[in-house]
Amino acid sequence: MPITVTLDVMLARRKMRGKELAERIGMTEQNLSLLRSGKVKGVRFETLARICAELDCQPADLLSYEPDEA
Amino acid sequence: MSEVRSDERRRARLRRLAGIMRWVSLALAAFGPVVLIGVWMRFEVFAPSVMPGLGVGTFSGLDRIGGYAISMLPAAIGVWGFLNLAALFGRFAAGDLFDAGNAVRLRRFAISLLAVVPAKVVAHALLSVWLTRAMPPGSRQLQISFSSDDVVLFAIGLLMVALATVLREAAEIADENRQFV
Repeated sequence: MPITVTLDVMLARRKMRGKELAERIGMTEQNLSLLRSGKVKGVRFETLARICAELDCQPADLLSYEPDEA
Repeated sequence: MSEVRSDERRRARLRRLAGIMRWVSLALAAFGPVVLIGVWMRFEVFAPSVMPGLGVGTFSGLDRIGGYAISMLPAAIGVWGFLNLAALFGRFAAGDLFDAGNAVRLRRFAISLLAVVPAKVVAHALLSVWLTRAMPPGSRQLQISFSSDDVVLFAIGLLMVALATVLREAAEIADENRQFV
């Protein structure tokens, strides 16, 4: 999948722990962990908006596109 | 917030209803074999309506035991179907609405409806042979019975197979949705 979740980078920049973010956006730690590791099929706009609001960032700060080399 | 509470109330109602339907299905599974015992104990009373034109007035113990065993052929299929239906409602009652196994259980129930129709025809034919076996040659019978009820039952079975297929697709979509956060 050429889409990479860069949430970890933003969390590090904001010096926030995943557990704290999960609590603030009303998501389980398990789901946030799956999102951070990119093991999900998609992210709802609603989830994206909550994360952006909490981390004061843009969706582009959380996702990046890297074309497959093949 | 009230929308969430309304959803919870609706699901709780659905779980209660599914719980009741589970017990109804279990009762129906037990109903067939138990009723058949009663029917075969008093078969003289039921024979004219169950097997008209049989021409046999009295039935021995062996007739009744054999008759019950033959009658159990479609009844056993019905029991299997209703046990699967009970398991399906059990899953619904537990809150698993779109589990992949639910489609399998509904499909089995549908197959039981489809299978019970030919089983009834075969059982009726076997019963006529069994109950008239002691009669003199020329009086023995082989009855083939097929009614509009059987056609309706078969049609409902086909409908249930279609619903099970839709439920399987729904389960796959629900599984995919679970992978969205």
